[in-house]
Amino acid sequence: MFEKGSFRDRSGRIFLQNGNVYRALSPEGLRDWEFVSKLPFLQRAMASGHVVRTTPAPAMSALAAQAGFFAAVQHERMPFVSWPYEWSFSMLRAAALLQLQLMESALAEDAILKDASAFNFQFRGTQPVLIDTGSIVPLRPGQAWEGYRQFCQMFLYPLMLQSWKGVHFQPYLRGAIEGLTPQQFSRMLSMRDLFRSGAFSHVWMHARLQTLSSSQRNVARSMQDSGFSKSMIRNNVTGLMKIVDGLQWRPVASTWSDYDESAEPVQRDAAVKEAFIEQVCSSQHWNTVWDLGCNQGRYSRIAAKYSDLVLAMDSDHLTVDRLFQRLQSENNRRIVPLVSDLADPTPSQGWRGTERRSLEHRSKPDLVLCLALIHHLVIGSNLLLADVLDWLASLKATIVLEFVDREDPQVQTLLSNRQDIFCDYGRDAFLSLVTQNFTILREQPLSAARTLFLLQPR
Amino acid sequence: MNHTLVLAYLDPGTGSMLLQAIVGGSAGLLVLFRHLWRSFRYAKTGSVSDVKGT
Repeated sequence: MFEKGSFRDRSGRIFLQNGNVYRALSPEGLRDWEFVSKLPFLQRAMASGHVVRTTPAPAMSALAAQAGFFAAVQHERMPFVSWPYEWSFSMLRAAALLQLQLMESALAEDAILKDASAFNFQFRGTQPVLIDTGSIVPLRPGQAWEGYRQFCQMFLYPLMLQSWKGVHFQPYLRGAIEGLTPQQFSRMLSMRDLFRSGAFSHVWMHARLQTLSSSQRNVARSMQDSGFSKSMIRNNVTGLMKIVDGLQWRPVASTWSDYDESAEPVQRDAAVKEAFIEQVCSSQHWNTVWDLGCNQGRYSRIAAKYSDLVLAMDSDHLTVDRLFQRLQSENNRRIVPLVSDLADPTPSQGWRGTERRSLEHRSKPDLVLCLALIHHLVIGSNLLLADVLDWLASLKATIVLEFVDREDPQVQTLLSNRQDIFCDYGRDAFLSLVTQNFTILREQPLSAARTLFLLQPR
Repeated sequence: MNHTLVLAYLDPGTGSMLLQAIVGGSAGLLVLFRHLWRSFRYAKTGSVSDVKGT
């Protein structure tokens, strides 16, 4: 079965067979792969894990052969596939720098990464990995970097938007699968911004040239005949590396960034909760754990000791970014932090609504941590308690849920400035709904009006 | 210079290609001027054969 999101480049297509990942290659794709797979830079990048490990496939599927493909290679299977609009600033920046580093190494050996889609990258824990080996091709003399505009749209402009304007880039990348165009981003910049590194050339002039030259034909041929060379791509890549390296996003704090260190309930209950979660997690080996509302990843770290993969999700961008930075400094390969708002989750989108699929289509957890989150979903985001529990039950996973009752000071704070319309929220209603969908395996009272539950779906 | 032209599956954008010459250093600027000169000649004469390889 062909992967739904791999149709754009006709030189290759991803398909899955017996749980393995293969790339079917056209005659052109095979010719390019035979050249680039021998290059030392690519072998080094595969050995270090920066490019997905790829080996010749012994046989190709009948489906790929019928579709006109010529040969196939096998890729190491990534534990999870995430989308750039689920990444934090530092994740997008790490992927951008890897794209440029690979470009630099490829150019030195007369190859190039022909495109620069952020979707070409995945994360193994906190390590970015190029998964689209089909984008590495021999460099044809005189050709420009075809992926330059794509790099700007999917990496450079979103990073600049976050760094310079403090505007979260995720809604823009989620809203436009090709990213921010030079014309769009140029309009977002102030006069002061034009003096920032890279703004005048890569944004303003880029936008003007796109507009002015849109009617020109045969530009690629003319540039080639005018003497365009590899050194110009290399200079551009070196310049972009300096710009991306200099882009920083360091806000002082956000709503949740310091919660784990300062909030009273966390400090009060931390030891009991940690012991409870350690006991649950250590009871077996888990394939995939979702930590919903992970904050600083305190419980993700416990889960990671007993599982292959932990998706640490939080809607607070800064909290996720700081978690990524800490995990990156520890070289963590099991926890993937994601910016994810459960009340506004990643939809299935792109061509025919299947090109970039929703979280639930990409990952099936066998353990879900949902700690001190449910009151935010019901009272903060107006979701129905019954619906939230129904959704959790639909995951068919073991659930650790911390219920925070109405008397809790945090719930009182949530209700303090709004009309209390939440007649469905309370311990009795919760227990009644829970017992319809789950078996309560264990219950652990915490301080104030909080209780930990271990739930098994019926 | 007359290498085989291999076009991309991705539309690189005409303005993006021109900008790559600008940010490609001083040699890139020379390429841009050559290209503009070729475009100018093409607009005047309808042919680039007399300036090819300059």
